[in-house]
Amino acid sequence: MALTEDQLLGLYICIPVYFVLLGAAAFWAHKRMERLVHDKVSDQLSAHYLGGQTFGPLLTAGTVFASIFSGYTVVGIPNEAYSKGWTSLRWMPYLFSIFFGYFGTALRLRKASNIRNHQTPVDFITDRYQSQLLRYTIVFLQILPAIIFLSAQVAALKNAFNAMFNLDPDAVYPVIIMMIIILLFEWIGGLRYVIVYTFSRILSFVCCAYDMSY
Amino acid sequence: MVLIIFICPFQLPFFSSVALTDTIQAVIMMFSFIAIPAVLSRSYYSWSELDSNTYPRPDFYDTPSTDFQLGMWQTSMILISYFTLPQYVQRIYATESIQNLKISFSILTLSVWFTMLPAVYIGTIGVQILNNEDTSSPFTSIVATLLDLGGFARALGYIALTASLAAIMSTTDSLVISISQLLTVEVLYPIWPNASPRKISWAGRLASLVASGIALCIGLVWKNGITGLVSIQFPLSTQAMPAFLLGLYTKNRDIHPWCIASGAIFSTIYVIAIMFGYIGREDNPVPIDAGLTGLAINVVLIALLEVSRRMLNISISSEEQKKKADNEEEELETTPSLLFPNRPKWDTPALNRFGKTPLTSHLIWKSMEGINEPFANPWYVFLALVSVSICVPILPSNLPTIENQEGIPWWAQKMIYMNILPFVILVVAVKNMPTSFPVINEEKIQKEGIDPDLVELTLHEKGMRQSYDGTNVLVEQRRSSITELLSSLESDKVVDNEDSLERAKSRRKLSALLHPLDESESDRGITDSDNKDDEVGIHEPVVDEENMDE
Repeated sequence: MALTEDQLLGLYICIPVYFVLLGAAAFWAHKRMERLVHDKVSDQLSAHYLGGQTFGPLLTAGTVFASIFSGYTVVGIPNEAYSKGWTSLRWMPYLFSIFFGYFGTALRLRKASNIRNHQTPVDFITDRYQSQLLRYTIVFLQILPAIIFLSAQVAALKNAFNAMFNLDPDAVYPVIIMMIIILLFEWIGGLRYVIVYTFSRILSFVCCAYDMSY
Repeated sequence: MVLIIFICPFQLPFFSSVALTDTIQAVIMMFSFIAIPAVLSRSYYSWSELDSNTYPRPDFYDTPSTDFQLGMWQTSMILISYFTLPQYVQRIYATESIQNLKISFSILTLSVWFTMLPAVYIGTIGVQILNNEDTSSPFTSIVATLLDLGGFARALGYIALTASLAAIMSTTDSLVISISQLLTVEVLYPIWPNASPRKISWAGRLASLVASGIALCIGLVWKNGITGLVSIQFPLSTQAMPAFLLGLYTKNRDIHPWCIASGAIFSTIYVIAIMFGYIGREDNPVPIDAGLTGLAINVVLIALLEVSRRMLNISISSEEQKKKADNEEEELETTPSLLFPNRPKWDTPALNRFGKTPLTSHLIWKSMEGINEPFANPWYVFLALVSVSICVPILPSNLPTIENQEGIPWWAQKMIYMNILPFVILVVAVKNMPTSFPVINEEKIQKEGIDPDLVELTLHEKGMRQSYDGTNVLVEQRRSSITELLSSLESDKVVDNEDSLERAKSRRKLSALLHPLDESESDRGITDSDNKDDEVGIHEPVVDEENMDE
């Protein structure tokens, strides 16, 4: 069942509102990043990639939540349940598994970072083992799966957008435009933008809900 | 409300208005997951109204196949390795305090019930609503039925559609920035160690562009579906787990990095070979997870190589050992000491930025003294593995449904109930997590001393990186001042047991060095009142800024 022209009208309002909010979030994040560097609270790299390590509970919870519950949660799991049924309940213990590992190691990684100033996940390996061979092995094992996962997001973005706007399923230009937008915002605002936009997206939902219910 | 009730009892002392706002925001995020099933059940059907006789896909009521059950258990096991993914570790470092992490973990633990269960509900109810219509995007089709209802349901439909797009974009962005960080800091910065921060910043943008370009090409060319791509990613990232776990949790003896690297390299080659050479080609491959078998190979190889290495080390003559010790002494004077010396130069990375001493297992364990952490408790690990394993519906394969079964299949109900056990274990683990790292006990330090390498960096000290591997002068000076003060206090103690004026002054100076004023105090559990008692007023070591830039 595709969306009718009348139904698409609402999306023509929601999506631009959402992108305007993203732009505003990126601009705010950029200003905040500049201030951190200017006030010598943080160096350029830490400000860009770690938001100056100053995230409060609001931003931390938002970003951790958003990174765990990816696009697959919203679209992929209902789709899987539609085609495969209740076996999709497997995603519940899967998430608990992820949390067991994540919660179990977070404190130790954090403490090591506090006393040794680790700024990337590979810093721990470099500092702990002092080996270039192992360092580059882990760099490879982190970058390659991340690029594969990123490719999966590209495919998901293409499928979701084309299905939503009744476009040709193989149309590639919408996903290319969206990737350019994502890249631009990331260049401007760094990690802080990535996180702030989680919240801007909440705000956009609320705005859309308000508009549409009238 | 549920979140607030859950978090309040153990967050109360730190439960600021910001944390409350955060919780409310998280509740809004979950809103769409909860509201859609509510509207669907009100306007169409609920799970209790389904009937195996009238459901358009009666085969969904059959028990899952043995292959599915085996695959589910294997995936559950390898997903524990997810903590090694760069985007997750990045967030552990980015937060201001572990109190924030605790709040996030509390929300995450609860959110499984408010996200995953509704997601499955939407899909399975959708089959009944759409009468198993063939659609390229079932989620969009289900939401389209909401739009037809008008009013609140229509608004909810738009929220859900925008949410789906936003969720994918948010994940994409998180991945882009984590890949960019790794490429910039771990690959480009070592090649260009004295590049200015601005240049490195531009290199980061270039890295984002390259990563996005590659992902775009793969994503658009790949024709085997999103699940196919994700199924390659899981087993590969699992191979990094032994390096992290051994580095974090080994006690007393360190494992040689080459043994770990060999295990990781060999198992990665195995995973790629199995994924593309066997699973990708066979129509009905054996349900063995490449990630889990790769992990087993990885661990066995590390153990074999390490045992062999230690056995070979025994044969080193005493003369060689003496020579080795002399070399180590020489190296100590010039560069940070190495855990495993006598390795070729190409294998030694730049380590000055981390400190003068190596990060040994002893140092890691000492730094965690007095901190309640789940993975250090073998019972937590055991219960975690068992609880996740029993969530697999261990059943005979493809048994037909019980006649006239109403509601959802009985085995699906069992799966849902079984998830309560890992949930409870996680609740207990999060509840027992500290909200701050223990405050340094000064009396104990004056009696027993302190390892200056265990002193945490302030936010200011952390954010002073000006080159790839420049020594962190600020923290080095503070640490050496602590060492000097401790030795002077020790020598005063030997000379005169009474509390002299000099000694009191040194104690106050030590206190200021151990607790410098900084925005990052929340992680160390230091409050304003702790610092008010400090009469000395020395909050940061005197640092030669020019020297630091060098």
